[in-house]
Amino acid sequence: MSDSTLTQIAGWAGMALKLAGSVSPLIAAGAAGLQVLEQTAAVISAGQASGQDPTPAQVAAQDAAIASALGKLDKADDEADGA
Amino acid sequence: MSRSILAFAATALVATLPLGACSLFVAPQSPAQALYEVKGDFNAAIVVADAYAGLPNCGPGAPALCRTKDVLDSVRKTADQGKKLLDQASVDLAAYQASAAGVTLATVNADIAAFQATVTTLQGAVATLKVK
Repeated sequence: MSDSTLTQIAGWAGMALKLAGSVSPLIAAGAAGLQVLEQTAAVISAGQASGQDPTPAQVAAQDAAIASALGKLDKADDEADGA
Repeated sequence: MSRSILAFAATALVATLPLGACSLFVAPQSPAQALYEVKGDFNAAIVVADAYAGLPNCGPGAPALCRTKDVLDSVRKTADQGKKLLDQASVDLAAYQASAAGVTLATVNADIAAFQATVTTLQGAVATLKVK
């Protein structure tokens, strides 16, 4: 199954929820996760074609995204602990 | 089909779809590419975990889609473990690329494998998030 097919299925699932009147935030997160994977795959595919590793800028951007995502998780967990 | 069941089915479908998709379709050709790819899987899993973490707490009067402290703690613990393994792999990869003594390709590959194992655990955790 290709990434585009996965994205299409994700879109159908999202549409089904909209029709049901309940759009889950996890659906949006799943779509965002797909975007992350597509971006990662694009960098790796380009590297395969050129024989090059991800650039320092690409690695730095990825590190920043991970740090941001982990920060959100830590903050939410801390808030849950305090609730 | 009730809204809750529909939401669960669709959520489980879409939340699970990204998991491992990257590694299924793209084969890395160097340790740097391999680590970058696993980091992408890690990032995608945390994005889903973040959405779960942003839900209201489960309890009386809570909506069907809610978070539980136990699940959130477990996900955070696994994510934190993954970050430590990622940091170790990144340090060793940089040392290997700089031809530092004592850091071999086998060392880097072992680091990446350990990181991948934890990412797989995290992917499994976020794939089973469900409506309470």
